[in-house]
Amino acid sequence: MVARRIIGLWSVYGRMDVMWLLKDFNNFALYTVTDAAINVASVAGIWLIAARFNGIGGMGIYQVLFMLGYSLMVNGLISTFFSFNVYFISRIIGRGQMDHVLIMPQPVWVTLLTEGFTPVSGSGVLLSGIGVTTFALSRIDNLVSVPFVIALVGCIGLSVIISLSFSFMWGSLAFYSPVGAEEVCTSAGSLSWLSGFPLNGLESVSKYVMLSVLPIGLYAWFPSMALMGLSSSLNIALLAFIALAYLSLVLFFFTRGLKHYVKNGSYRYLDRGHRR
Amino acid sequence: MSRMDRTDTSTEVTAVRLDSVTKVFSQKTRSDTVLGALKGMLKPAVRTVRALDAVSFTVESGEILAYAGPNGAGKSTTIRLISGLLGPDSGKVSALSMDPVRNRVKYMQRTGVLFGQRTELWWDQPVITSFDWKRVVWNISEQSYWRMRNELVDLLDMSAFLNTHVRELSLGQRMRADMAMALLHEPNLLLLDEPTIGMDVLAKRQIIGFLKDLNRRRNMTIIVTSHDMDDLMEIAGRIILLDKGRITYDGDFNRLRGLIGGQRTLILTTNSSKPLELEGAVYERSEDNRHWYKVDAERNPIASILQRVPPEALIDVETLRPPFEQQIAELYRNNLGSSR
Repeated sequence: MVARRIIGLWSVYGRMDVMWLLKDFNNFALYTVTDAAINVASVAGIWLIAARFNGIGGMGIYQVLFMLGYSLMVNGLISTFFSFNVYFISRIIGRGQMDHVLIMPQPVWVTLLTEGFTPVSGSGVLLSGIGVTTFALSRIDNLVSVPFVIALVGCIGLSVIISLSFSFMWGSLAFYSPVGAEEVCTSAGSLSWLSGFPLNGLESVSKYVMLSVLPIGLYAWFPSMALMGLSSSLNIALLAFIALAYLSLVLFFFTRGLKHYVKNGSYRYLDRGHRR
Repeated sequence: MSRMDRTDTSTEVTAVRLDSVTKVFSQKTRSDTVLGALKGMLKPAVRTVRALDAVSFTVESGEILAYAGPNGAGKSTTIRLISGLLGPDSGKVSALSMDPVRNRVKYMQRTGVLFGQRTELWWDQPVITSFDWKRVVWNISEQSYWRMRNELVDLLDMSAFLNTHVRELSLGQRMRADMAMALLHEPNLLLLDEPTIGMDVLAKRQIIGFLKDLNRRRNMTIIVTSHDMDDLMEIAGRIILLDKGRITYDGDFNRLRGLIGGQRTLILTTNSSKPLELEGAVYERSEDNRHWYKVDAERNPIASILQRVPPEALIDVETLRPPFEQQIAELYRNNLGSSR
């Protein structure tokens, strides 16, 4: 029943996204061109470095591209399913816009899971990711198989959970300091654009930091290494464990924050970004 | 969740009940010096603000209640408590026989909320898209949706801008569309916080007429706050006045008028720039030969005051009834409203 409801909501948000894109030709043309330019720019840097040096940090050029594609798919899924500031939840909380969520007759998690669905305007990065990954896999021998594809899809899901949880954990601070923490998710989210860079060359301490408290390495590098057989396949299980830990932590912090919001209210309301 | 198709009305006799509800907020007080600000970071000075102090009242099903008071009186806090956006520190809030916070999902299915300075409409979409969105999120059955939508479009005169993007609407049109959004799911309880703010006279008349009609035909319980007492007087039969978190008056508007008395402004134009001293009238000011007096017409009828004016000195007489808001403000200033 809940699944049916979620699909129904995704369908309505999807239609609204299409209608927004098609509202006039200028809007459609400019948005499509700028989105394409951003996508090319996000791919070009790492691709060119990998091509110039025939790989980065011990990874071959197509392995780097696979990792880049993985990272783009993770970021693309987030921008497809969690637009309208849902990923940047501190903006919604800090601007007092949780009121709008709370007057809807459905659980908060259902709203957050569906309200940011933009399958057309938000899917450019996802499509780039699928393209880059497909290209990279076509050049890497003996890697693609059914278990590999299942593991790839599973790992991408886990990386999305970790990235979202990380953003929501920081975002929960906005329950306590709406002004100070309003943009904290923007900073946390900006880390995700570094996730396409391999961490191989880094010293151990930095690497461990980026695999735990600042989990950039978990967004692409760590699972890609395991999927390509460059590290132990047990690391996929470790990724699942870390995702579970992050999810538990964010449920704890977010629920506490929401209780604080309902107890104390928000002394601030800005309509900026709300349903726009 | 079952599809809503509610043609029946609520069976609760009491729609809303507040029992000794207290809400206290903490506010950090800031220093205006750098040293003070640094100290404040380590040990902030906090003062508590009692937004609501043991407030109790009930609203019967089908009643329209006006909720008024000066800024900071606690009006919005009350609306937020009844909306389930805020929990009380002590006391109990119950609406439609539910706890608005604990039963939020079920409760919001039967409650409409409209904050005048906010919108539930999708800014970059036509009005009609927001209505379709509401149908899915509120799980309204097709039959109910079309019936209510057609009715609301007709009553609120929205057909001309139904396919217009929300960002292109005038304030009056946007408020009508927001009002329709709040009502599409046929709520039993409607909470309106400043619904006529910023609207022109025509738009206000339209909204007020619509609310009265809605209440009469659907027996909908409405709680409305506004700064505009004349609007409230036109919408509601009963008013609760709030000051500093406490109820200062709870009753009908006519009794309130009685409490206020017959305040009038008397303006006399005489043949002299020197004001006359008149028993029963309090002199306020003069401009050339025009003199302003304050009169309580119930205690001192205007006619009897005018008898004390020498006929040869009098050129013209005007009387003005001060706006109701001003009279209420006076009531607060004089602390006369401690009648429940």
